Amino acid sequence: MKVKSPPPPVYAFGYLTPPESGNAINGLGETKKRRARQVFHSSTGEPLAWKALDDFFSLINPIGTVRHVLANTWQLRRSDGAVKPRRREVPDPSAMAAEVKALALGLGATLVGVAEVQEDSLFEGRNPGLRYAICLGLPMDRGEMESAPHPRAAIEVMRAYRVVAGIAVRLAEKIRAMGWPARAYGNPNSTDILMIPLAVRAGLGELGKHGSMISTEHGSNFRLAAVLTDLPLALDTPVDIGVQDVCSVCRRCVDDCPPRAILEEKQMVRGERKWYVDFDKCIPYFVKTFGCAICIEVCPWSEPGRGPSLSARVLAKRRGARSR
Amino acid sequence: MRTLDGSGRLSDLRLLRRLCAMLWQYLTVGGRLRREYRLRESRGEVFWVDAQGPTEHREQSLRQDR
Repeated sequence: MKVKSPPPPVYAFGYLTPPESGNAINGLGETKKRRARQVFHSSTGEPLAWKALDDFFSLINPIGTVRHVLANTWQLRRSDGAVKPRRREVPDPSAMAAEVKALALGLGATLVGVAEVQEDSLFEGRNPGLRYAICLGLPMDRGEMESAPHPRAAIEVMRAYRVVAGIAVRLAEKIRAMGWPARAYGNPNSTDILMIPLAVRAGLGELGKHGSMISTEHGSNFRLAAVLTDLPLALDTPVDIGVQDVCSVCRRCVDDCPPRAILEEKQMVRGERKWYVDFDKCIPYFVKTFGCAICIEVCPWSEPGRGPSLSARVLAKRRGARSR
Repeated sequence: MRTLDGSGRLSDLRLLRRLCAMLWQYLTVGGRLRREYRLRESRGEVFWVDAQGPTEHREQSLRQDR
């Protein structure tokens, strides 16, 4: 996809008193492991450093996105609930994982995997007290997303969040009906958890250079939700589809990012080397363009049907290099 | 975790009221903000989000109730 004349990174909004750098809050350059802190989007009551810009973002968004936000918030009132007193025993977590995945796919998810909830996937001060995460992915409409950065793409992003959240809510209800606690998380402001580390461990894809997930099936053109539960489930493992090989040489998202926010090399972030997007450059442009999404749409993996062949080619090349 | 104490309907009503308030805020406060922002943008001026923007909006108060 080629971006058609995106607006320049020049802003008619700003801070009189600039907040703390989002990169500092995110732990850029920190060598010690620690949990992430919320910076921008949040659904909790605590004040955030960048809340004024988040509020501004909420109000300048088109009504079409607001409609999905409201509908999503309404359906998420059922994210948690009463657990059926009689618990279904689970002698075989593998069989139960297969059953739950079939349920999720039946409800409309296209990607599903199971990971254990660990420290790196919880925000500071948060503890949902549930052991497993069932991660769900749902593609966005490529036709709509190709308009990015445009309100049409923003509306499609929020539509996908709403739909995948609905799947998570219904899956959590089914698990609670089995007598196990389950809580759905289906909001970009996901309160307790960081979706991406969970989804990577659940084998849905890999973290790309642009800071978003890349899957074989949808590239980056999809949205995540999750169900946290204590239902015993066999865990999935992270996948290697060749994203790291491609991202280390590809510059597509770096070159097409108007504010030049995507860093070319992996960075040390909270004690881990990983791809990182400069928050302070990305977010103002994200706000100006109602969620931008250029990087995820120009990503070669996001071209429909390209992921499987790209992955096969890269992995074959790597195997060939090793055997020489 | 919610329990079966019959309070679900009440919390649903509270949530519905807050969603209506959010929509009302978007239309009223948001409408004024969007006009002001566009005006400043056309004049080449800056809209200061920490001084001229809303101090509270939608999800903060909403979530405290859930």
